[in-house]
Amino acid sequence: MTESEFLLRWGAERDIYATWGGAVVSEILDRLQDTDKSLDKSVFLKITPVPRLKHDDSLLGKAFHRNKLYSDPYLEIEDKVGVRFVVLLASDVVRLQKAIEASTKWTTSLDKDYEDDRELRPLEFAYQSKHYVLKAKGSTSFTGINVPEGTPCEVQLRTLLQHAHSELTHDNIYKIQSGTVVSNSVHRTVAKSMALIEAVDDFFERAIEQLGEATAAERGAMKSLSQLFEKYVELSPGNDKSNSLVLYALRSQITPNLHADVEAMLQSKSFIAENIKQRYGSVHAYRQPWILFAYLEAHRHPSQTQDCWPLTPAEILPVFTDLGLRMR
Amino acid sequence: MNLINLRLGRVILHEVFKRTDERLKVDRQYGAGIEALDGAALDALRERIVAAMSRSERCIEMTISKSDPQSMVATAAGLADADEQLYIRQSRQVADLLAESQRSRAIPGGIVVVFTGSFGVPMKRIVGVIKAEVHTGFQRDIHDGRFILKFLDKLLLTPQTKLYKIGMFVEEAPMHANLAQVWRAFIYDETMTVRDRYGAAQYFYDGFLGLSFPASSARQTKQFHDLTKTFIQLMSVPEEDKVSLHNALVTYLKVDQSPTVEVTAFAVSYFGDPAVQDSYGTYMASKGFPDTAVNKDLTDVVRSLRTRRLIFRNQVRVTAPAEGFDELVKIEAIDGEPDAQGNLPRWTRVTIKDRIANQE
Repeated sequence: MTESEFLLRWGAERDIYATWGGAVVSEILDRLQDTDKSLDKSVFLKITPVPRLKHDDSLLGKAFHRNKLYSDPYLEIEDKVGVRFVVLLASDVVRLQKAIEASTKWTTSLDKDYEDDRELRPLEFAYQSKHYVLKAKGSTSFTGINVPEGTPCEVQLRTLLQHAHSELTHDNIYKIQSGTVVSNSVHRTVAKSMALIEAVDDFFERAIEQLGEATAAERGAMKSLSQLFEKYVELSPGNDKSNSLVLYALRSQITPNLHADVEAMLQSKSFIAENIKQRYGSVHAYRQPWILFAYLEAHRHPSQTQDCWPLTPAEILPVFTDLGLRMR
Repeated sequence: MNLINLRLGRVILHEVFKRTDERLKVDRQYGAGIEALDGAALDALRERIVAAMSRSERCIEMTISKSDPQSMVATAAGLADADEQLYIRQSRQVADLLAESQRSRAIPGGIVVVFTGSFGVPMKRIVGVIKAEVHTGFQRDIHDGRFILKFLDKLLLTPQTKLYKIGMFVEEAPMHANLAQVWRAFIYDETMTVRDRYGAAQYFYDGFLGLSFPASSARQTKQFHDLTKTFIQLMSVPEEDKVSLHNALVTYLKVDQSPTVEVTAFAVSYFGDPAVQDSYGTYMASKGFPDTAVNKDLTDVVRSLRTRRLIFRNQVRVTAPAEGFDELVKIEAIDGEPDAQGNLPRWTRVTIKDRIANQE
């Protein structure tokens, strides 16, 4: 295959690759949402994933000028279209992997895996990223364009820090003559920063884990209260920041019996759910799940609840009044 | 009392006036119809009633002493069952009764709010009367971009003033033949003090509402004393702290000018920790102590309040006058002398601030 034959075919098939790239992105996002309905993708993905086609020059360079010894360079180059997903944590990368592997639209191969790299070369701190090649399973048509079976798309998964590292080294690192004094020193600096990045990625992960453990009780309570809100108030519960403020302030009262206690209260004092329903439309506080906890605690521990109440007294006064309790 | 799930039904207003210089009644002004209060106004009124009656040291359960057909309890019973037209007409009787009992020129006029409603699970019916004195204040208005103060001379039921009294009848045993047994009666009067308990406020609870202080006051005051003493003993705090709390109890009963004893009032004044305040409230409720204030009557408790007794583990006893105990005696826990094993025992240092007068 000559360069011009290569370019001719590429020119004819570019749209197919662009279509496949777009289909891959939307399929991954859909499968990701399946893993967690409440996931906010715009927060989870640190950079919007946009499929990119390789430029003609870089394609030709890779196919014919880098001693790659392809037998069929057009078919063997699998990153003619590629897309990159950048997330905060290494565990987020794993979530993306699961989303990719959950799809039936493609066959997957993991072409580069930083975890394997670490196993194989434990003393090296080099470029890290997960590269998947996703090949269309059966020919499918998207927006009127037929994508033939086996059309590849490369997907890179990175943490934000891995991304920062590769932004620095990409292009720059290859520009210097190898074997020179400068080159050795630059390589060493880059390796040091990669080592640091790996350490920081670990720390991030640990920090998030610890944070998760520290707020596990509050999150569990929030889940219970939201469920009970939906069941007894029969309206959809809010989820704003006031919830974590109230749950944090009253956290010493979050017991394993919370769910049962709140439910028993709602059953024995049915007016509480009625009053919440009545004020739901007009009072913000009455749309938040914490209102149930506030009723329980105002009833059980009126003094402590007033003492550590994190919002304004006006927001809990109606709760006290409903329960026939006076605020000091 | 715990007015849980208080709901207000009909609300009507009438006005009564101060007597003339000749001490003659001035004609009442009767409200023509039921008030149509919006959600916010109804919530505010509910909140005022709860704030006054609930765990308040000025809310007392009273005994119904007058239940003849002209009495307030008979009127209340009629109002609870009346339809709207009858309610408008019969509620005038409440204003008439109040005007009749305000015999002194010193007693101001005011708005009489007559309401029905319910509270509790299961629900109990209530009929209540608020006598609200009218006072003055200001309202901020904006005219042409300028603030102006607008003078208001007919304000009532503002939360910061103490210018209202409430009488409330709660239907306890609807099937009972005797009205005084069907209903329980509660009053709230912020201005009541020890000195004028049987004086200035009497026209309201006695003349107007037909109530008297319950005979059980002395027993309940003693119950308050005994239960609180037990609670203090059960607390897991150092003995010196318990000494101060026992002193506080004596002070609250003998020295404090409050005309009543009430659980929350004592808790807030003397237990700093909100968690202890809550568990004290729960303890007193579990022992059946009323959730209202109790008319302070020291008859049954006066003996217990006379002396404080400390009994030590080695049978040493110290007795002292209870009043001003902390002025006469100083109690401190100290480290004793180590025993053979080197353990430090806890001893008590008692300082008696006087010389010995006599010995036996």
